[in-house]
Amino acid sequence: MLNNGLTLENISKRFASRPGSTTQLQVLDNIQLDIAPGEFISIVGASGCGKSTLLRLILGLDEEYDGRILINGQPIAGTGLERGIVFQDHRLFPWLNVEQNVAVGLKNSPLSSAEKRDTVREHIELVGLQDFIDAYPHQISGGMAQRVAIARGLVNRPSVLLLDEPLGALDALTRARLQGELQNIWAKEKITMILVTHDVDEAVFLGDRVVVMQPNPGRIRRILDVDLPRPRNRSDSRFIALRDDVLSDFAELH
Amino acid sequence: MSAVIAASPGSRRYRGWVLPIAAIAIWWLASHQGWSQSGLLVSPEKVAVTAWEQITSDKFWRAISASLARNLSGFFIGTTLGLVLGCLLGLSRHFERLVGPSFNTFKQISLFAWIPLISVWFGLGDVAKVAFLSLAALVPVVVNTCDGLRNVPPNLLEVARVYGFTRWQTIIGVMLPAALPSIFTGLYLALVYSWLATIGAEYLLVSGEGIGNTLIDGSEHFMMDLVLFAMVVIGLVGWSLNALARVCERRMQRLYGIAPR
Repeated sequence: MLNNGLTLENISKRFASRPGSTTQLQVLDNIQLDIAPGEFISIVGASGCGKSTLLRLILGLDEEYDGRILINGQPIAGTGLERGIVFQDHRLFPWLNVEQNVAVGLKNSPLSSAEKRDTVREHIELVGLQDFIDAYPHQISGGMAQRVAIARGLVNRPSVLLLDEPLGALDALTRARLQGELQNIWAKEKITMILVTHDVDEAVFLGDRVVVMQPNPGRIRRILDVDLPRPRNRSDSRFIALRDDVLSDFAELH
Repeated sequence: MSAVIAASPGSRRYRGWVLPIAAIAIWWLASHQGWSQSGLLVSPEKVAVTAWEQITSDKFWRAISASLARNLSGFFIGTTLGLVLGCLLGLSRHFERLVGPSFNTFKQISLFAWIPLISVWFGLGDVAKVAFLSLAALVPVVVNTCDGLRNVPPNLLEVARVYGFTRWQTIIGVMLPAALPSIFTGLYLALVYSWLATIGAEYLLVSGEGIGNTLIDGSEHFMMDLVLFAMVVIGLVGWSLNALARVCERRMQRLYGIAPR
């Protein structure tokens, strides 16, 4: 289980409740999770349960925590190209066009410039934006911008792609379409994906397992296996049963 | 009804001309009806004749090109130094702690308060004027460059960290492009200020040729026609520099997807 996967060992994280204050806020409490290579993990939870904080720790943007994060058995140190990310806001550079924005992911890759160009093109095609290669972020829709961000996240061929509510800001129709595309990309690239979302439907639709988190302090409430064939059908009774099961966790919390 | 009330877009566009034309008409009436006996009230025709004499004379073109050359040298020296200083202040915490407080005090000193010192150090010639202009251009460039670099969205800096950008790659690839609109605002202000300062320098450091000296000539010889003509020229040059900067700004905003103001 340890090799080739991602392991979270006793992850805890505290913030000072106010800068300089000694009272501390427990954001994450003893998170334990083993993720197999190529697995799709959905993390759901109400806001404030620390799910985005957890993702930042895995990404390496925040290095102040207790516990260990291991990739392929090795503890992580800082950010690394083997971990990609798609943020909720696309975070494209407004002064670069689609192709240049995707190429940002390869800035420090050892590939030759010809290989870089081919890889960038390939990933732009993967997200279906080959006709918009020269467009600037303000010239494309929010859904398209998010697809560019997905291509940028994948272009390094990371072993883990982290998705921090990547579809949260999109309208319902675009979101449903991109959920389908995300699933196809995952099936094709065979990489580990960790999706943080507050949309239970999305979590069940995409995940091999759904990790339900709860706040105060942020911890794992339970983990559900989603043993349904893909692509999943949202009106399948088993899908509905699973979704309602997860939703019932939230009902109890209120 | 509405057709009577609503003005066509064409007529609306010309509405801005109403005030100047009315002012000229009153001026014309005043000078022709003898409302004032003062020799200082010249007629519009007299100004037009003087304008024509000036435009066809070498002296005027020497003056205006001297002013523009001064303006541009001061602008380039001031903005170059301003960009360097602004980048250092915006990028280096150490430099900011060392120089920031001094610069913030320095920029509070009114530009014109420098004139006595500048004339002692550099005399009344071109060197002194260009030094004064450079100072005028420097301050807005430093302030806006530094602000732009400090206010790069942290979200974009995180993207650079995720992809392992070095410090240098982050500066060139993220911070400078993100700060560019603000840096441009600084350059724009420098262009406007340096032209204002050109006239100020020529007026206060009286020596040599320049459009400011034309203004002084007119005033010393009680030639109000020459004074008015020089004022119009100064306004037109200022307007052209402003228009030039606006065109550049629009192009840049379009590239950045910012709606033109």
